[in-house]
Amino acid sequence: MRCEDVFDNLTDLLDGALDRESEAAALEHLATCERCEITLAETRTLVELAGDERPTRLDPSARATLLDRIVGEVGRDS
Amino acid sequence: MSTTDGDASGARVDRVVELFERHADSVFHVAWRILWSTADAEDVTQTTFVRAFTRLDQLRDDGRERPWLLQIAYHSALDVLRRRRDVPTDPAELPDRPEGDDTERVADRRATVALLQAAIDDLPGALRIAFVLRDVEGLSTRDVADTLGIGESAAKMRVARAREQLRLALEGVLT
Repeated sequence: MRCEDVFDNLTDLLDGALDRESEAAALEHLATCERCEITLAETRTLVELAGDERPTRLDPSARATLLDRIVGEVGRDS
Repeated sequence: MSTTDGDASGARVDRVVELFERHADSVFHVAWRILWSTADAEDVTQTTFVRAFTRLDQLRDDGRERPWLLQIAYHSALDVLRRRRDVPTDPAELPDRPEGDDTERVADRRATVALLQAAIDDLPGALRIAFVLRDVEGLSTRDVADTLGIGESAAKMRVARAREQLRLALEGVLT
């Protein structure tokens, strides 16, 4: 596998979606290519960070108000 | 209404409350990432759970409840965009984040997350929402595809392009 092949398969590799043969080929390349190894590591960190914290949450008072409205609306329609 | 009807109706309301408790933040977040407006995202959150109530019969697999709700939220948010613009809306034309909302940058992990959030905000709309669904909200690629109404390979490509743009935007910060 070449650098561009690893790059094309990076998302599948991170997501564990590559077939066994392709994964083995990618890992073999990564063992000898520092640039691809860094790219993989950075992308993995990126994905971990992305799942770390949802930046926007409902304000607690808005949450309570919305739930009241929803229950009022669906209760009226049911 | 008979007692049985009342019980069934009450159970449906309880189910929507349960869904809201579990998924309101995700629904609000996805709507906010599309609309950049807290008020509009709250409206979409309300609309989503009201619509979910009317469609509860479609939800047969509890494991699919979040992608199902996010799909409703996504389309509800696009409805708001259409009303704003009064024209058909393509996800590729999701609005950019307004200027003047800079993210605080300090040198720790939390700041790196903040940098990432700012970089996500700068992504083109179609890539941004695919990335948010996949990597922030944790949906599978298949669920991203279903939510956006696109093929799985297209969803995978959008996520891959988003990840690469973000990696480049945060080069030197991620290692």
